[in-house]
Parts: sequence; structure tokens; C-alpha cells
Amino acid sequence: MSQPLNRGEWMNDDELIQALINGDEAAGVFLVSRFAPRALGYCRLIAPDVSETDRELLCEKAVETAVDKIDHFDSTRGSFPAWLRGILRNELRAWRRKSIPVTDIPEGGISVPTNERASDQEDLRAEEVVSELLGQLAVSDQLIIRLRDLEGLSYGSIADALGVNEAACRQRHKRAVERLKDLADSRQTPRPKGGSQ
Amino acid sequence: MTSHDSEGAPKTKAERLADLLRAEIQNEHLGDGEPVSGERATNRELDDAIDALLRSIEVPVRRDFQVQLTQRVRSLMEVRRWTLPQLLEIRRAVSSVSRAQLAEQLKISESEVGALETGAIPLWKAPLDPVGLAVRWIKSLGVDAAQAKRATLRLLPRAPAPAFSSTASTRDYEEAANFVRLLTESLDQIMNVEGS
Repeated sequence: MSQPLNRGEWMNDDELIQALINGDEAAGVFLVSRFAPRALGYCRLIAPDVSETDRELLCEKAVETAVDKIDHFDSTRGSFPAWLRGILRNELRAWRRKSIPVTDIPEGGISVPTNERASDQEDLRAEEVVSELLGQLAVSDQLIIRLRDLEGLSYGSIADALGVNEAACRQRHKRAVERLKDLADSRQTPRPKGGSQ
Repeated sequence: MTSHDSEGAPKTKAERLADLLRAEIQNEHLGDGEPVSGERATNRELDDAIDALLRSIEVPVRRDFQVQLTQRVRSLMEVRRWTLPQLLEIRRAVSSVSRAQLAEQLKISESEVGALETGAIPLWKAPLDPVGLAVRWIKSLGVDAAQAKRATLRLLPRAPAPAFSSTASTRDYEEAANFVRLLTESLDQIMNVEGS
């Protein structure tokens, strides 16, 4: 007689998320056991300066937020672990903003921006452009840029994950970013003749 | 580059993409760093490749941490089970009761009601039994007392009864506060949906 399958073994991420949306209590338990170790490991990489207690708190908040907003998760746009890491990065940013010790800011240490801040709409447009340009790069370029600039990993962590040399990672990332810049430059519309500099 | 893993199973696209990046980095010093593959991938496939790469970063978690997180997720899922009509009914009841009336019903101060409403409840500062307070709070919102008690007991951790006596620990109060916060957030979300 065949052994009954353990739900935790057969359930892939997409099935687990659907079960969670359907209110299956077991899915909540599996969610924690499957993703908490990854979230905590990721948090150690992106926040090595934060205490383990605070990292646990951040992971706790991220998992809670993910469960709370699970109806907004769209698997066609990305994976659940990537979504959870994004939530964790937001929690970390919010935590850092709250944790800045005011007394450490030296007098006159805050520079007043001279240019007007870009509007949210302009930010959104810039994001779209970068995202579109990224999509034109080779897959390996996209991966190294995502690992470094989106996931926020150090070159050392990327090298460890890939099992390669750290210096080579740094060089590979530098070249990928150069190619992205080249794409951005070639995309810029030429200035009209006689226009102001 | 092999197209099968060490056990002979075909590699997934995520694994192949990770291999591709690894190989290109290892060969970085040989050429000018130009990518050699013309492979394309969707955002989801790139995510999956990164997930595969980051799987090695898993770390063991403390038992206490895992238990506490599981309890919180269970509570959240419990709140999600409240039906839309139930939540709307509760929210309407909240709207028709003033803070002063609620304070009188709950036998607590108005400022404590305010804290209840925002979820920032300093329960450990109040000489109140967490279950009793949660039941009274839900009951005051117009929900049947028996239903309120069932809901509260479901939402609160399944701890032995003595934990909810007068000797309840700070943790018990925190759990009760967490329950009310989750419920309050759900109500707020419903109101946002309703108002949009």
C-alpha cells in the first residue's frame, strides 16, 4: 500500500497560496514552516547590522502582511517568495526610518534639496522605463542586476549563492549596468537643434 | 552546461537560468563580459531563478518564533473567515455607538476605547481579563454574546483555561490586543472597500 502524501510535500507554492486564500488553516501552518526560514535567512543578508530579535520581528511583520494582503498577490507578475521579500524590504525600510536616532544628526547635516522632487507620476514613469529597458537586456544581465539592486544582496552574498568568485560578480554586475546605461542613452530622444543646453 | 541535475532529472528553467549566470560569471575573465546566451525569460521565470538561487540562504528558526508566528497567522486567517455581512454589521454598530457610550458599556475609560479602536491597546496597563474584555467589546458592537464568545475563544490562542484567569500573563494580554487589532484592521479594510 502506498504511503499517504504529506501535504507539505506535495503542495507547491501556487497551491499553497490558493489554499491560503481559500481559508485552509493548514496552509497557514505550512506557509510559516516553508517561508519563515527563507525570510529570516534573507533578512540576515540584507540587514546584517540589525539584531536577530529585530530581524525576527521584521519577518513576523512581513509574513503577517503577506497573509493579510494575500488577495492582492498575482502569481502572473512574480513568485510568492519574491513578493514576500519585497514586503520584507519595505518593512526594513520603515523600521530604519523609525530607528534613526535624532540626536546623531549633526547641526546643518541635512541638505536641502535644490531641485523640486519628482512627482509620483514621474517616478512611476521612470520605473516603467527602467523596467522596459531591463527587459531588453540578456537574461543573465537581468538576473545579476535584480540580485544586487532589487534584492539588495551584497556581492559576497551573491557570490556565495552562486558559488563563484566575488570579484567576478562585481565585474559582471558593473558590465550589466553599463549595458543598461547604454540602452538608456540610445533611447533618449535627440535634442532639437538650437535648443537650450 | 548540463541539462539534468545530479540525480538525472531534467533541470527546470529556473535552474538553467541560474546555471547560465553562474557560467557567465565564471567565464568573466575570458572575454569582455558579453552575455553568450540569447535565452529570454518572463518576470516570473526570473523570479523563480532567483528563488532557486536564494534557497540556500534558509536558516533554522527558533521554535518559539515559529510557534508565535504560526499563532499570528492562524489568528489572521480566522479574522479572514468573518463574512462581509458580519463585518459590515459590526462596522455599522460601531458607527452608531459613541465613544462615551462604548466606554460606559465596557466599563473602561474613553481613552482606552480610543486605543481599542486604533488597535494600540495598552491592555497590560488595565486590570482587565483579556477574554472578558474582547467578549464585552464584540458584544457591545451588537453581536450576539454567545457568538462573540465563540469568536473570541477561537481567535485567542488555545491556551489552558487558567492562563486567562486573574493571573494571565503579559503574553495573554498581547494576544488579546493582537486579536482586536486584527479585527479592527479588517473592519477598516471593509470600510475602505465600501467607501471606494
